[in-house]
Amino acid sequence: MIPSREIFFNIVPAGVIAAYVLMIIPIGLLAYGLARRVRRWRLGQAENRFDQMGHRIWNMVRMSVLHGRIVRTRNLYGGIMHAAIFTGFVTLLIGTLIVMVETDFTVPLLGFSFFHGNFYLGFKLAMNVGGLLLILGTSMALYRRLVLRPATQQTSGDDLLLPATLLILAVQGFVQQALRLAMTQDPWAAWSFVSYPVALALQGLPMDVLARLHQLNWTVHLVTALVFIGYIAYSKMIHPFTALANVLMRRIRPRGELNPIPNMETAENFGASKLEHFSWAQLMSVDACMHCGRCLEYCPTFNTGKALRPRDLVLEIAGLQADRGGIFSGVLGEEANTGRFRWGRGGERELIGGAVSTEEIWDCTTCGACMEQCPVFIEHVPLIVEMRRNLVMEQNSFPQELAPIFTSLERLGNPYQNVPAERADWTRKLEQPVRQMSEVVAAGETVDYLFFVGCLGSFVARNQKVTLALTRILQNAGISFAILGKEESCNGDPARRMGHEFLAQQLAMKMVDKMNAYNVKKVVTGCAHCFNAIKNEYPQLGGNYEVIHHTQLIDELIAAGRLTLNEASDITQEKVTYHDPCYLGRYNGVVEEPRRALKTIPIVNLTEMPRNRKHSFCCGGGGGKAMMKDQSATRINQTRAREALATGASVVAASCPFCMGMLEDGIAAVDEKSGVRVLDIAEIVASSLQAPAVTAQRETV
Amino acid sequence: MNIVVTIKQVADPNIPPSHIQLDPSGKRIVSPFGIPPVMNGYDANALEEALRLKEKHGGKVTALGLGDDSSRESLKRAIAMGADTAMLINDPDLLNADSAGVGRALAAAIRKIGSFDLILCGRQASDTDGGQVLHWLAEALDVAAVTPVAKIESDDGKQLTVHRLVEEGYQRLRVELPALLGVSSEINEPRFPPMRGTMAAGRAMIPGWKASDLGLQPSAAKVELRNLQIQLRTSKAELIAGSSPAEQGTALADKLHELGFI
Ligand code: SF4
Ligand code: SF4
Repeated sequence: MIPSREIFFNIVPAGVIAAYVLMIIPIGLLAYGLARRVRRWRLGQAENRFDQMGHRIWNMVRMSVLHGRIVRTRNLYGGIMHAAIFTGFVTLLIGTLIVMVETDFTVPLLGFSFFHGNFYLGFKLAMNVGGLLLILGTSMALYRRLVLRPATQQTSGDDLLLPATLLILAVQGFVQQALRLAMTQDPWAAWSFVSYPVALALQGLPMDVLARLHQLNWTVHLVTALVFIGYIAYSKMIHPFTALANVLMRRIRPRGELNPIPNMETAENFGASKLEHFSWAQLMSVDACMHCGRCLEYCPTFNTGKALRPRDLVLEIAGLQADRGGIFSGVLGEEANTGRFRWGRGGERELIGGAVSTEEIWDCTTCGACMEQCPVFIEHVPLIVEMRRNLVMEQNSFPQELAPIFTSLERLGNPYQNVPAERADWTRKLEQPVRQMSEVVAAGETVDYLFFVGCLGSFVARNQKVTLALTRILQNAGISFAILGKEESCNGDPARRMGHEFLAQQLAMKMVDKMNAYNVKKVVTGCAHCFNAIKNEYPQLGGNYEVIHHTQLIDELIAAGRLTLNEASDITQEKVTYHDPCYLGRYNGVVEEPRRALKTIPIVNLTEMPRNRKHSFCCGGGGGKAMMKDQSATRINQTRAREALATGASVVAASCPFCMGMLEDGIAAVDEKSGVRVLDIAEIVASSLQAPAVTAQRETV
Repeated sequence: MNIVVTIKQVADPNIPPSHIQLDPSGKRIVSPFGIPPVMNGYDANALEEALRLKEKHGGKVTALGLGDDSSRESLKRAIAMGADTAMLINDPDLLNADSAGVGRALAAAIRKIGSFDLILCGRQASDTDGGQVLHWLAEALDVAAVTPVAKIESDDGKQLTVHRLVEEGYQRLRVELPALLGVSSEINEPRFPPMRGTMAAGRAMIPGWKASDLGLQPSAAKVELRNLQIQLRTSKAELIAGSSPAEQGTALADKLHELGFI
């Protein structure tokens, strides 16, 4: 006998027909819900996301089927949970489709049947494994939502309803199979390793009871499945569609690059104060959120109890869209999808001041931890910056302490009212002079590197020491370089991330013009923000350079044997922990070079903070926050300082002047007497350098 | 309410003393590298107050300056902040005029601009701190002048009730319009120019007027500025020693006595 089974066993033909007819309703609802969402996205601004399609598709497969970002060492529970639900659900879906193909296509139309033999046995096995995975995954989901309840998750109706429904569907499926096995005495029953034991238990029941139960369970299972399908487009279960779409259409520019506002002079509107001001892709992206809360895990504002929670920001924007949804908006589904459950349609709300508060908008340090975490590639920072742009450039509304900063940037080219003529005054403390780009070019010569010092490194006493240390390293290694000196000004990053795109473009344009006029090819920066802006954003303005952060250059120089390090130093055998600047590590992936440089220094004993590398925790200084007042009870920099102190390190290594300031303040506030110092990697290396050969020479002459 | 605000462009008062420079004639402060001149601070207060009155009553705010062509920058900033138009008297012969001459020139320009209800000036300019011009201007226009004004308490479009600063307090004065007020910094916090304004200012045309355009006869200055000098002030700190607070207090008192402060 060939293994197989009768499809629609024990189901009256009328029931089968009813099933097919009823199926039209949920599929129609799904199609309508999807179409409605697409219509809403199309209200957004144009943005080209259709380039590099091959790369996009491969990336989508990697991030969905292969779970590229979903399963991560730091998110194992959620990753395994999703993989189980995904594999189980997809297996069962494919199984159902196979049966449909057999009954409705190959048999009636082609007179050909394949649902038997080894294929059938394998099918049984696979469906049982799938069902089991689905039960496992959904139970994990419910257990986490109901029992573990991590702080990053806020549970709304959908978060329980959907896994519960899937769990019920899987159980119903097994019951259905067990009842059939019990009735038919199926000789291959053991292949259904889950249902078989259940079937054995049910065998004692009379045949007609079994048949009734079988029909009843079939009907209930059908109705559950149809309701579930109908509900997909109105719940977070839409995410297989929206998440796939978002991963496919995600921005594939460097993450540290913000989209510019082209043609500022003629733009009708700056930034976003209405949904329509976002791009279609941004509107689509918020619909992909499924409340996983991963964006909160390393978010400095969430972790210090501030108003901004990136998940809620995304869900509120999604909710604002849902409010406009037409007849179905505000019913359980889409409103629940905002994570802030409410019955009925939400009232008319503004985007800024309604769905999202100005406090939330100004809280963000633009650290990017949320974007690094989000498994569906939602980009929170560009959403926030769009709203900042609107506040600053359309509404002239921003925290009042920013007015003098903007004015200083505009008039003096630096944020803190420093005298531009004093920008290169730090060079006076050097034994060996530093050349200025203008002199180099006037002499008809060239240098390999432009050293872009940055405002803090030029003016702030503490950061000047780092600049001096770095300069000595460059001189010691015999690097040919020059600075812009008095001609340097702010690169534009703070203004840009504070939403003042106009000012940012002015500042950046000035630097690009200068650097292009001097025919600069390679740039080394002493600041993670200068680094990111010049590397990732200057190409927008026609500034294309090879940009390298000083920690990368130091690493290269050590590896090439161009720096000779001493054993003796004032930080002999110290425990050092390294703080990754967001704009270096997370945004630009420079995490190993600084560590490698540190490890080669004989006196350094490197230890890690729990949150490191791409999962580092922000110092609190990015996105202009170093220039705004942090009034809240828990300061971000103090939180990070505590983490650094807990490692027992005596030196916190930094590689960005903003981090340095924030961490020094943080450590002083948390434990004044700790004696823990914050030193830039350049300082640690410089203090370990053997007496600079060149200087020694000069002295002997 | 039509308001004219006089705007003077001055060297940034926040230039560190060590960076202040004088031109070769020794009569003028020149702005050092990288620190552009600014709108006189009190004038910014005057402009802000004018803009607030305009927001309340409607009308027009005109910014009027006297200076070389570079002074257009400050007038542009006035437009960026919200002034409707701006004019510049840029006759080289008038650049070295004394307060009376400047007052007369401004008055002639205001007559050319047309009718006005209120003239708002800064109480004085931060470069010379003279505080003279506004009196000459009021005189030439034959309107009442009140200065320094710390608050406009009420206004009904015909009369203003203002607070005029006096030593240890203020006077409440009622002034008939048209009038001229010299505004002090207590009155408001000048706004940050909105971006749209800054962009509009970039495109704005600011006409330049010569003495002949204003029908002014040259007249000899009665006051002459001989030269300016930079006085660098130094400060030093001294710690008062003492083993107890009481002892330190006594030592401090002795010291202050010795220095002639008490
Ligand atoms: S960028 Fe950083 S601070 Fe801003 S929402 Fe994301 S994680 Fe939070
Ligand atoms: S924004 Fe992304 S990371 Fe945050 S809850 Fe939504 S899906 Fe999860």
